[in-house]
Amino acid sequence: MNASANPDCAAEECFHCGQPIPQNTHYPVEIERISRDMCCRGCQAVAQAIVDGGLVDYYRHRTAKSGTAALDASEVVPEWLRQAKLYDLPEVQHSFVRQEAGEVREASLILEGIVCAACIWLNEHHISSLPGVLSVEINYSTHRARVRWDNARIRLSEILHAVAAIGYTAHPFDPGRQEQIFQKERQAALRRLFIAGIGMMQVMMYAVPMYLAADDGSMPAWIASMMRWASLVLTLPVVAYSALPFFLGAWRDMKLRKTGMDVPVALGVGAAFLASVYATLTGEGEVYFDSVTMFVFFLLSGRFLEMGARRKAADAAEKLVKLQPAMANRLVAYPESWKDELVSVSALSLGEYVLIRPGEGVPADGLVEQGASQVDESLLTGESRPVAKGIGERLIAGTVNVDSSLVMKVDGLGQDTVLSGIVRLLDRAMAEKPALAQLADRVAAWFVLVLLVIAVVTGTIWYFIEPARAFWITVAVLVVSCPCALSLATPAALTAATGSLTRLGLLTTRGHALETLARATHFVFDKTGTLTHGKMSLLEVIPLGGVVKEQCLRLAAVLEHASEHAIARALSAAVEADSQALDVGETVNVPGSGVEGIVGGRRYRLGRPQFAGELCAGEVPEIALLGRNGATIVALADESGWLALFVMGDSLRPDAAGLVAGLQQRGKTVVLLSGDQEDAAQQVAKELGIQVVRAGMTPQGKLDYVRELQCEGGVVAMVGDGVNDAPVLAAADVSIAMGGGTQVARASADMILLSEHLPHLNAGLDIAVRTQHVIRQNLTWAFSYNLLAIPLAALGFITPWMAGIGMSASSLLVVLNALRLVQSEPGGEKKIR
Amino acid sequence: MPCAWFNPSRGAKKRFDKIMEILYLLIPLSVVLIFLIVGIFLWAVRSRQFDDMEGPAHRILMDDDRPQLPPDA
Repeated sequence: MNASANPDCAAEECFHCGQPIPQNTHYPVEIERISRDMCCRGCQAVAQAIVDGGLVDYYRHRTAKSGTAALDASEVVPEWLRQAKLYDLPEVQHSFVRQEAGEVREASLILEGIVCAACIWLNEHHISSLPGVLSVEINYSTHRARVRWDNARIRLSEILHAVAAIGYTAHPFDPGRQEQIFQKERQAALRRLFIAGIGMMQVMMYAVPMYLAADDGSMPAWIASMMRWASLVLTLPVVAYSALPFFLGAWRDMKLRKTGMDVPVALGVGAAFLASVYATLTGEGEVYFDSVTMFVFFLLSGRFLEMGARRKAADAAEKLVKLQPAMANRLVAYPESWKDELVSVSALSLGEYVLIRPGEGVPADGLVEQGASQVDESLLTGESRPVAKGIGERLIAGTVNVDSSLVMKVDGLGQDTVLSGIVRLLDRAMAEKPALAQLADRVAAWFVLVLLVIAVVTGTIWYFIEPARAFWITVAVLVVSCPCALSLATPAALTAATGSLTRLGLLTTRGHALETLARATHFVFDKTGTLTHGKMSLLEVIPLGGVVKEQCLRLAAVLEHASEHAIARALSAAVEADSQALDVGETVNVPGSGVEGIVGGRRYRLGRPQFAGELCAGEVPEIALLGRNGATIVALADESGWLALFVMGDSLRPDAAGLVAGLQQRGKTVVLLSGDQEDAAQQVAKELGIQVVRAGMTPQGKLDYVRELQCEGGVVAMVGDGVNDAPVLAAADVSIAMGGGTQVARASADMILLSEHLPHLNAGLDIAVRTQHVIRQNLTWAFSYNLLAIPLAALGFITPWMAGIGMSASSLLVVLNALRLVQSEPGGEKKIR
Repeated sequence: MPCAWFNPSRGAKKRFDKIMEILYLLIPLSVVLIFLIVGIFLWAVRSRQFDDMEGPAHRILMDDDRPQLPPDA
């Protein structure tokens, strides 16, 4: 902390949230006897609450600045707080609150705004200090809190309020059956893994002396016998409990009359274990409990890591469900009165009227009945520019009203909304694709069949040659050929590579993704939100009158100060407006057109060129219409003439060009698919050097285009964002979604670029290619090993214990080879020491 | 015949076997110990100690001790 010790000297950024402090503002809070300046009343209130609560340690522990306080002290009754009261009603509570004896209740909350571990500390201390709160536990990885409280002494809304007072937002949520099932599965997987792991270690302790003293008979028989029995006792739980999923999977496969990868695993484990038990009971022959436990442990660890990675992806999707509003303002007696009541969305019915205030989400599908506004449909279209909506136009559930209040007549709910329709389309597209998985299964099935035949044939032949050796030789064939190396070859490499990719911020959610990514020939990009930021920002200022650029910007920012419009936000972000320096009179917001206001005694208009032109009675300047395709022009004028044009648009991500160049260097075809107009898309393609451009595509059009590429033999990697991309993402051979993109797309993508750092995609491609090499090496090794070992075993040259060592060494080699993918530093970020 | 791990005379071999009788105790003991460890682990899983793999690492660093000096001294 390097803030000035002198309280009179204003620090440049807010002590709480790190935002720059506007000039001439003074919101001090005394923290540890030093006066710190805050950027707004919200942050001041939050910091004061933290200090008053005796939780000042938070500022010492934190490693990142907090988010700007959600609580605006100037707001008399914040909107969300009105809703929080609703959470006290028993009928609302019953979905997410668990009642215990008496008035004790427990609920799960999702916390928003957590940036570092100190936030957890702060929330835990703050919530647990409330009278009536019995316990609170916060999970750092999932940002979820479990709170128990005494309902007679404190209300849930008061707890939510207390969390808001220190600058965080808490939403109750219904953990749901899905979540509980996952928790149970994860715990079971952990137990299985641990039992297999510790069993493997201890059995190996017994096995090593037996191997060392195997041939010379220097180990007294009773010791060997005891060690075998001890190994048996320890292997029993590993086989009976840890390996249970493999046996169940194999049994399921057998019932369906197919042979999956679980069958050879179950067969290998089962045969080796039973043969070892037989050897232990009779006291003759070899035991390979060590091989059994090791095999089970390796397989389980692969599956466990894979499960964690997949879960992370699902989590991201789950958080988004909240985006869709749960509450709606129902207009009870519309159109006679505008009295509204807050009800849950499930209580709405068709034909009812709802009021949607600016900033609120649209709760259902419907038609605008009254009012005009701009609606942010980026969730559905990926289009960042808000769309103007007037009477009679369609509103879609999940979109956000930005401008002014709307009255909507509900005509689609629940399953009938557009959003649900897209989700169904997505389900269908996803059901169409597991061709690759099927191929792997077919190969394994053949391998197992061939193996079984060989084992039976070997056994029969040896029965006629030398009956005493027949059983052991058959077991040796089964064990030595135990397809562990074969079945570990791919998952081990994939798991290792997935770990490396995750460190790059590239999350893999499906097993085939890496393999397909390495083979991809076409990289298809969506424009908005993928190659561009997906957010409106100020690209250029063109001064037209005698006023300098900076002054125009300041005027614009001041005029838009009160507005929450996307353009207004972009303008405010471009300049640090100082509302006190300019004397702002009344401002009038004209929805769909712009804003008119008086600043410093002069009347200004800011908005569409036509709207601004009415004030100065001037023609719209030519320049406003020339060569600015795809961008939005906002004009500023006063009564005497034009002042400036602001070119607003979606700016390219700075690293997009590097990514495209890198892909083209590898000989991949890069394609730009966009729902935008031709010229906007061409502009972007020209800047990035992309030759193939398809513009003005509908979701169906994109889908057809990708199918067409696939028909021509191309392997398509689709990089996109937005729900309208979701069907295309699912149809592509491999799909990559941007992490900050629309959440539903995440759930369906094979990979998610959480870092939103495009060059990581190049690095990811590197890893994918290297993974392919490793998998190929592993498979080559596994096949040649089997080709060599099976005949040797069948001819009786290999004793079972040699087979056991061979099998373990073979799988170990495969795993070690895969681990090379972990050790390499990701993406050229090698550290020089 | 030479042996990998010991090469005793006749008398030494007898003494060795005598000493090795401790294995009658040690091997079963190791098995019991493993089951004990597994039991402790199962208890830990059940009491949700593995639900959050990241938080505790940070939490331990945040005790309520106050530094003796003010931060700007």
